[in-house]
This record gives sequence, structure tokens and C-alpha cells, in this order.
Amino acid sequence: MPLIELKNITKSYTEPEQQTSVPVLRGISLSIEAGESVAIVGPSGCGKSTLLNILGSLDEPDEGDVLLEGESLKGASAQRLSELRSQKIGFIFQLHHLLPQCTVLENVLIPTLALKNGPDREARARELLKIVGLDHRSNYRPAQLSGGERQRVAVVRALINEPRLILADEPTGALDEANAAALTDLLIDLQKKTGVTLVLVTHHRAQAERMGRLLQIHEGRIAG
Amino acid sequence: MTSFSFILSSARFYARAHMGLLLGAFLASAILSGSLLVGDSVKASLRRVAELRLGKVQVGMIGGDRWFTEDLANKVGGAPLIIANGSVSAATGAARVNAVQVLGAGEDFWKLSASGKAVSIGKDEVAVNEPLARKLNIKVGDTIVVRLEKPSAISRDAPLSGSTNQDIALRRTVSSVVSAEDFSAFQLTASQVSPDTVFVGLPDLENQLEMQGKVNAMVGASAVDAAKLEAGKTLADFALKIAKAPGSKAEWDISTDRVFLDDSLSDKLLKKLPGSYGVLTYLVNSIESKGGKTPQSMVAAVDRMAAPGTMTINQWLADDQGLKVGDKVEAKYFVVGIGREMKEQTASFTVGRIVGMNDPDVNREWTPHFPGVSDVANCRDWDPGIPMDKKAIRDKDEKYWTDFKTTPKAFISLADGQKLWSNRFGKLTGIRLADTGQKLEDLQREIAGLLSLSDIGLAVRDFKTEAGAAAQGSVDFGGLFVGLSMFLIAAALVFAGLLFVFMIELRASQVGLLMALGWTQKQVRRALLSEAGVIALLGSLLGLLGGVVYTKVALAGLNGVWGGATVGLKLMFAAKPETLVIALVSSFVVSLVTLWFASRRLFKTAPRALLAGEGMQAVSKKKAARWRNWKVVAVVSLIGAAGLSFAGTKATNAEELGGMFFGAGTMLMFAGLALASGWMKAQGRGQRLARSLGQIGLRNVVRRPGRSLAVLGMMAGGIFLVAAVNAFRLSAGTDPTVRDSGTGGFVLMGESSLPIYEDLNTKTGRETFGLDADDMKGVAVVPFRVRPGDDASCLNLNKAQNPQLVAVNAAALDSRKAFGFASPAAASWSLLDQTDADGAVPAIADMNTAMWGLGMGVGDTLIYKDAAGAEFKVKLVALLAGSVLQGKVIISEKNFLAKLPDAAGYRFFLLDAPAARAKEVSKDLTKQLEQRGLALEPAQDRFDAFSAVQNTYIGIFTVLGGLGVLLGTAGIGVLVARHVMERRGELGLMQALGFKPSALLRMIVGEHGSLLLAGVVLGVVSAGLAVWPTLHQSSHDLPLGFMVGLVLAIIVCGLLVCTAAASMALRGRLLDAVRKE
Repeated sequence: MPLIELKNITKSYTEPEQQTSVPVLRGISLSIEAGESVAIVGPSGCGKSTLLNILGSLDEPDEGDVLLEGESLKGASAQRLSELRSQKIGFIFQLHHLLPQCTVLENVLIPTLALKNGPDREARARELLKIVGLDHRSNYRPAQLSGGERQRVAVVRALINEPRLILADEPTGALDEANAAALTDLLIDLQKKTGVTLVLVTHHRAQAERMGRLLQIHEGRIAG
Repeated sequence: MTSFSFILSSARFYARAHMGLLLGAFLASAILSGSLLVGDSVKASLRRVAELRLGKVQVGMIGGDRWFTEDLANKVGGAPLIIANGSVSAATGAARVNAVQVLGAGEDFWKLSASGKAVSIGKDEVAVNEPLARKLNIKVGDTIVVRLEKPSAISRDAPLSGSTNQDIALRRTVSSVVSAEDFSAFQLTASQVSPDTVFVGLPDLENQLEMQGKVNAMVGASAVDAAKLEAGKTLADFALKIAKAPGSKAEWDISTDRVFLDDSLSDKLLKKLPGSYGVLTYLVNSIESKGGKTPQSMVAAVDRMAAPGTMTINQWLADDQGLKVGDKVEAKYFVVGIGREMKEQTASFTVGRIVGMNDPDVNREWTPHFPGVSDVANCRDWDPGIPMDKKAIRDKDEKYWTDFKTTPKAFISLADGQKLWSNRFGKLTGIRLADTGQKLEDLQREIAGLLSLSDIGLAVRDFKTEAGAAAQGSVDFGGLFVGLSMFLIAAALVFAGLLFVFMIELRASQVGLLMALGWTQKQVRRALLSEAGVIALLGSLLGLLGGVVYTKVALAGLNGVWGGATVGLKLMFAAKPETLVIALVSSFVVSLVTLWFASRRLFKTAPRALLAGEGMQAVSKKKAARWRNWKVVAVVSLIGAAGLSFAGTKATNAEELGGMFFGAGTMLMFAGLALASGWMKAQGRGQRLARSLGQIGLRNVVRRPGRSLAVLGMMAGGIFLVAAVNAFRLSAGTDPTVRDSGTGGFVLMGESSLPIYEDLNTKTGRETFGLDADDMKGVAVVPFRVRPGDDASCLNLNKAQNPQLVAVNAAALDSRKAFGFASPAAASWSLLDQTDADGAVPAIADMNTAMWGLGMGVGDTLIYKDAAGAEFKVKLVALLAGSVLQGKVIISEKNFLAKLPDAAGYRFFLLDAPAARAKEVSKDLTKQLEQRGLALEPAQDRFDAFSAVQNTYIGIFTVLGGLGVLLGTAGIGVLVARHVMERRGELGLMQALGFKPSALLRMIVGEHGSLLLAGVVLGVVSAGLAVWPTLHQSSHDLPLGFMVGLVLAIIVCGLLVCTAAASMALRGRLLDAVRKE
């Protein structure tokens, strides 16, 4: 059984001023197995991020269905979607979205607060921070970190609840070349070590080619 | 990390951003707690006044015109007391004070004061309280003259009650000035205003009033045992006496000092004393026949002496007119009308029997003691209190008086006698019962045992409990201040809500992130509201301290410039712990609810949109769609506003009027907002090319319709409340001679310390007081009888427990069409003369008194006690529009006298007089009726005093409401700043394109200024419509100048805030914003 499966997904947005509908995804079907690493590439506005949001249940398709470990997300309650996200999905965004009021360690632990009666993951958080080389900064605030460090914290945050699927939306988009390369290495390394499924949206062909599978989106369809 | 620690660290981190929320919660809590503490303080101050005025007094009994034995008070451990009215003047004549409380007090009385300190009053001495000493400018050792009326056992209005104006003057030295703690404020009526009191030694006053051993009040520190009180009563407490009566039969004669036996007593005695019968003896003006005319004769109505229709005459009368059995005779006599008005009537009889002068039944004991008659040596010296033709008295009449005194010259049957001479004071002058050898003391005890003190209206009252109820206040100042501050509280909450929303808008991506990370919407919202809750709790706690400051400022205002609202009450600060808890919890909960309400839109947004920073804008567009049916909203609201305004003209009570008032205004505002929404939609769709900065500004106004409508609504709401409430200011400039105005068209009004029995509209009445006919030209007096009671007007902060009942000849006011009626509008004074189906006495009261002082409306009833202690209902049949008759419940004189026959004379007056001579007339009347303690003032002055209270409330509301509007304008400033911050990019672009910063500032101020002005116009128009029913019902002028000033101040202030906010937001390098984008 695939980890996640998209069946004939379509999505369009309404242009408020003109009151017209603009199609973004046009009948996408896709199946991703557990442990796979997948890159999604394509030009701006082709629907990459929309596809990723639908995969992560942050957005819902107009038509079609998403099956996560065989469970249909169609019509699922907001409560259930929240549960699925907290238990099975980790997000890494282009901007780190770290909470400025929390320390590095606290930021990493924030997803654990969504779990009811979840295990104490502080030790795991510290271990992961050590892996990404930030154990000495666990009590720092995001403002005291560099861009690359912040994004590494975001990666750790995505992993803290031991998700089955990591969705990364241009995670290196705001980083310089060196930091981008380091973060890509980290992601690939962690994916291999943990066996988590990784879906990466990127503009960088080189980065995409380091993934196990590459999906090209063009005009709302998978082109190859 | 736990959720709690996350919340705390967020609260700490965003502390600066939360300052607005902290300030809002602080203000809401401070205003709410402060308002409630004002209520606590007023109540505590009233309780303090009650403690000072009652001291240790718990219970007591007020006899008023009924005097009982001092011994009765002593038997139940009470302090006997005489309470009278009078006037006091300095012996130098330099100053005089009317309506002074004259207290005859003994040692036991002083023990009941708060201090318990004895005040020694020696012979020829008096003590005065501080207010009186101040007014007379006297000190210990000075001499004063106290004038008061000598009490009469019977009403001075009663026939044969003797002459009126039996005043006495006591010239005494002031031995001490009594302080507040020592009973300076003693009074048994609930009022926050300390009376002017002179204290006279009890034995001294009893002697001067010729009421030895008798008092008309008692007070006690503990509950009086009712059984002990009843057991201690004697016949003297009922003004009854019993003596053996000479005659053909051995009989006892029960009579009274009051001439006429109270019906409540005589009915009971006749029923309970077997074989007893009644006697009614009367002084007739003459007995006439063909044989002649005999003046001034006593006639006794007693069944055993004459058959119905016949008259038994004595031999002297038969001889005087040569009468024999079967001859016709006529008796001419006076009957009592309203007041002391006497009407002569005639009755015919046939001589049925002639009894010899030595007949044992021909004796003087049939006749009770008539004051001014029985104890006078010569007929010509009689002063029976009724008109008497002394010239008609012959020598033989004098001889009869010398030989036989009050021996009746004739007898008729009791039924005939009662038909002719029964009056409101009684229908018998004596009761006879068989003498079977009883001992006098036993019989006295037996007869007293048959009666109850309540039969003559003597009942123990729990003054302490009454004072406690009164101290709850006629006005709940806590509620009033909460009401008056409501707009300010709302503005503080809106301000807090706005800043909170802006704060969370800035953190919208955090909300999106948390939701993306698996937090449920509920968890995120709970976390944010908990974070805000921490701040709100802190703000609310700090607000309690602010509340104390607010209260002290408000109390300073109420003790100073707002003194009109507390009319003489010196306020002290008081805070109940439970009030603080209520204020804390309320403000905290209200703050949280506000924040929940304000933030609900954010949580309807998808996490993806929040993460992308689209959040609130996406929702704004949805929100705007809600106004899609703006036409329906506008039409329904307009119809509703018109309907409610019309219904407002028919409103009969405050709740209805208030409902219509706010309803109509609110509906009109809704209509205005709906129309504005429709206009914005139309503009938003418009494809016309924007050709100027102004037109671009217009596009900005309609770009965020929700926000624009919020500005519009906030200003309109504020202006509406402040302007509409100010329309209720009562103008002092109304013409006092207009009949349907608050003065009733009367130029003068006033009260007298002692009753005035004479009709001041008649020549005789005016001559009694030496009033000059020329001076009194064009003067007409409408007198009112008064049953003492609590002032139920807005000048008394205590809740009236026994509202003052007054009576008037309804025709006197009806013929003048005096005063305007608020409900029903077509009412007239003649309603007072109508009979009610359930026997209630119809009454009219001032609308303000009924609604606020009594909490009643048309159709509601009050319960009073009549002279016999029986309860009777008084039903409000109409309400006067704001008038000088505030505080009184007015019934017809006829009904009043039927229930309270002892309330003799008039003590309240309305006067018509030529306006140009008002001062002169007032001076003349006051001087000539000085002994009666008449004090007059222009009716307009009294009306203004009442108006001042209402205007003070409005003034307070204006200040608080004005602060609310200012806070609202500060909120607009926040909106402007926020709006500009959001648009820094586009403004930077415009600057890059060559627009000067000053042009951009003008554009932004123009955008928001137009919204502000539109809001002001909408508010003013709404208020204008809403107050139309009230203006329609009363003739008071709208204080246009004040309102225009207020509105202009709000506009100027609003524009300044907009400009300041826009300037601050535009400060810095806008071009950087372009570069960032």
C-alpha cells in the first residue's frame, strides 16, 4: 500500500476581482511509497506548492481524493486532519516560521503539544538537535540564529513527532548557496537514516536530482 | 515544555504588543469597578446618614396629631418624645428659619444617640443642632424665639374645635449646639439632608403645649413587646374619659377630648359593651318657631329622649318661644365642608315632649367639652371656631349659660342627629352605658382592654429596618454609573479588541504554522486567548486600583461640581470586597468574550492562507458579502426606526420610552450603515477611472468596507449616545407662566411650618393675616393638605418608604389646565375625583417620581394607612410630565379628608401672581404669615433645582461618554496607523512616482476624515430622530449650542487623531518598503 496516493486531483482558484476561476491542478494522480524521496519541480505558478499543500492536508482539492496510508482525506473533519498532520506529517517551509517567543528547544517541541498524552520527546529533541549540530544552541531564541541554523531547527521540528512523511516547500529558497547545499545534505542524510518519506518542492534542478524520484509539473499536470 | 509554559512565554515575549490589550482591560476594569464602588460609596454614605439620624434607635411610634401618655412609652422602655414643627428666629430678628423640627426630648432620648452623650437642657434653655446654628448664626448663650402651634386634641378643621392660630412662642437661651454624633441629624423620615432642629426639655415643652404627661412619639433601642404595649395602654392614650353621668338612670358616660369619638373606637365600644348607646350633641346656631328665635343652643341626639322626627325641648326653651307639644320648630346649624368651610343648614321638627328643668335628664353632662365654649364664663366670650352672631345673644341667654351652662335645650333622636351632624371626625360625642356598680378603675381598664392602639393608627414601626431599606437608595448609583460609563467601557473593550486583533493579525502566520503542525483550531485559539487572558487578568487586577482612583475622582465630582446629583449628601469612599471580586470577574470575562469575538474571523481562515499572510484579507471579502442584502437591511431598519419613533409618542413608562429611544436610533443607524455598505459596494464595482488623489482615496475607503463601516459605526454610535442623551437636558429658560410647563404656570410656590387653616383666596382669610387687598390683587392660591412622609423626588437619595401624600381640590388645577400630563397625554386633574372600581383612591404623581422614586407607572398602587390604622390603596391614574410637584403623591382633598380627617389645614401652596410683582407678593405673604412659617420661592427656581439633578446625570454621562468617544477616536487612530502600515509599500511607490508626503498625508486624512464626518452626521441624525418622541411630549428646548459644541469638539479631535496617526505611520523611509517588496 502506498504511503500517500493522489487520485485525479483538480484545484482551481477564484480571481476575486474578475470573479473568474483559474485552474491550478488538472487531474493529478500520484502514488508515493513509504521511504521514497520525491522532488517536485516546475516553473513558478505551475501548482507545485498547491500540490504539496494538498498532500499535507493544508488545502483540499476541488475534485479527486487523497489517501494517506489508505485513509481517504475527502470529507475528513478539521479535527481528524489536525491529528493526521501532528502524527504522520512534518512540514518544512521556505521561511522557517520559528516562533520568536520560544527557544530553539521549545520550537522543536511545539508539535508535541498537539499530541494528547504524547510521550516526553525532550530527549529526542536534544538528540535531533545534536544530529543537526545545534545542541549547543538549544536555549537560544530564533533571532540569535543564522538563516541556515533556523532552517535546521525547522527540519528538527518537522521530525520531532516521528512522522511518516516530510513535506518540504522550497526549504532552501531563503538560504545562500552554501547553506542551501548543507541543508540539502542534511535532509537527504536524515531521510536515509530515518527512512521517512520526503517530498521536496524546489526550483533547483541539481537539488531535485539528488532525490529518488523527480516529478515535473507543467500547467497543472505531471509532465514527467 | 507544556502548553502553560508556552502561553506564559508568549505573553512575556509579546508583552509590548499586548500593551493595548492591557490598557483596554485596565480601563474596562477601572471604569466598571469604579462605577460599582461609587454605588458602594453612596450606599455606605446613606447608611452613615441613617446611623447618625437614628443613632441607637431601632423602633418607635409616631402619633402625629394623636397624643398618648408619656407613661405608655416608659412602660415599654421607650424614650418619650414630642415631635413638632415650628420656626425659629434669633432674638435679634436678624434671621429666621422655617420648617424647623422642634423636639421635646428627655434624658432617655439622648441615651439613644450614636455617642450616648447626655445633653443637658435647663429651664428656659434649648439646644440647637449644627445646621440650625449655622443658618441663624447663633452660638451658646444667644437667645432665640421658637414658634410652634399648640396642639389640639381634635383637628382644627373640625366643627366646634375652637379657634385656630393657637401659636406659642418660647424665648429661650441656647445652652448647647448639638453635634452630628449627639443626634444633630435626628429625624424619623428618610432623607440625606440633616433637618434644622431645636431641642426643648420634655417637661418644659409639655407644659408650654399644655400637654402635661403626654407625647406624640416614642423611640426605643430594642424591639417593643407589642403585648406589653397593649397591656400598658390606658383610656388616656385614646383621649377617652369616663365619668358617672347624672340622670334618670344610673349610667357611665364615655367622652373624648376630641369632641367627636373616632368611629373606629365608638363602633367597637357600642358592639362590645352590652346595653350601651350613643349620644351626639351639637351646637346649633338657633332654634326657631313662630314664637321666636333662641340663639346658640346645645341639642343632644339621643334615642331615649326623643322619637325620630320629633324634638324634645326643655321648659326654658318652651317658655322662651311659647312652645307646646305639636308645634313646629326649626334648627339652624353649620355643617363642615372642605377645610373649615361651614355651611348653614336647617332641619324641621315637631315638638314631641317638654321636659322640666328639674328633670334629672336635663343636665349638662350630655355635652362634651367644647374648646372655647365649655370653659368660658359668658356666652358672648364664646370662641367655638365657627361663625357666631354674638349680637343675637340676649341677656336671658347669658342667664341660661350662668344657670345651666352646656345643658341641652333640646333633644332629637340619634338617627336624626347623625343625619344632620355626622362628619369626617365622628358620629358620636359620647357613649352611655349602665352603671351596675363597677369601680371606675376597673371599668377604665375593661374599656381600654376592648380597644387596640392600632384603632387610632398608633403602631410600632421598625425605623432601623426602614432606614436600611431607604439607604438602598432611590437611585442605584452603582448601576447608574455603570450605565453612564457603558459607552466608555464599550470603547475601552473595542480599543482592546482592535489592538488584540492587530496583534494576532501580525501573528497570523504563527497561527497557520501551529495548525499546520497539527494543533487543532481549538487548541490554537485556546492558547492565544489564554495568552491574552493572562494580560487581561493583569489589566483587570491593575484596573481595580484604577477603579479606586476613578471612584475617588467621581466622589470628588459628586461632592463638588456634580453635587446636584447627590443633593446634600457628603459622600465617603467605601469598597466592599465582593464588589471588587464582581468587577474583576466581570471585566475579565467581558474582556475575554470581546477578544474571542474579535478573533473569531482569524480562525475561520485556512492555515495555508494564514501561512501565506493572506488571512484577514480573504475573510474581509467574505464578510463584505454579508452586506449583500443591504437594501433589505436598510428598508427594514428605516421602517423599524419610523415605527419605534411613532410608538415612542405613546410610551407610558421609562422602560418603554428608553426602549423606543435606543431602538429608533439604533435602527436608523443600521439603515445608515446598510446604505453606506451599499454605496461602498457600488463604488467598489465601479470601473470609472480614478483621476485624482481624492478619487484614489475614495477607492481606499471602499477597499476594506468592513473596516470603514467599523469607523463609521463607532463614530455614529458615540455621537448618537452623547448627543441623544444631551437632548434630555432640561432648559432653564422656559416661561414659568405657561400652564403646561413644569411650573404649572404658577409663579410662586412654598410650604408653611405650621398649617394654615384659612382660605387665602377669601377676604376673611386674607384679613386674618392682615394681607393688603391691593397687594393681593391678581393673587390666587392653590393650597394642598399634606400627610407627612418621605420626599420621593430626585432630591432625596433615599428610597422613599412612605411617600408624602398631598391633597388638592382637583377643580382648582383642572380649571387652570395646570401642568402637562405625560401619561396618558389626555389626562386631566378631574381623574382625581373619579371613583375606582376596587375602591382605590385615584392619585397623580410626577413622572420622574413615579418611575424613579417609586418604581411605578400608571395603574400601580401604593398602600397607606388611614387615621384608624387601616390600610387603603392609592392608585396612580396619571403621570405629570417633569414638574415642581416631584416627590409627592397627589390625591383629591375629598378622598384625603375621608381617610385622614385629622390632617388639618394646608401646608403646601402654589400661587398665581402677576409675574412683575412676584417678589413683592412673596415678601408680603412671607411677612404676614411669619407666625405660620410660610416660605415662598419662585416656582421656576424649584423646577430648576429638580432639573439640576437630571442635568447633572446628563453632565456625568457627557463627560464619561465624551471620554468614550475620545477613546473611540483613539481607536480610529489605531485603525489609521494600521491601515497605513499595511499600505506602506504602495505609499512608497506613490512617493517614488513623485507624490509629496504632504499629499499622501492629505489623502489618508481625507479618507478617514470623510468616514469620521459621515459617522458624525449619521450619529446626529439618528439622535435627532430618537429624541423626537421625548421632545414631542415635553416642551423643553433642545440645548443646541451645547450639542453643536460637543459635536464640533469630537470632529476636531477625531481629525487631529487621524492626522497624528497618519503622520506617525508615514514617518520613516517609505521607499524602503518598495525596495523590500
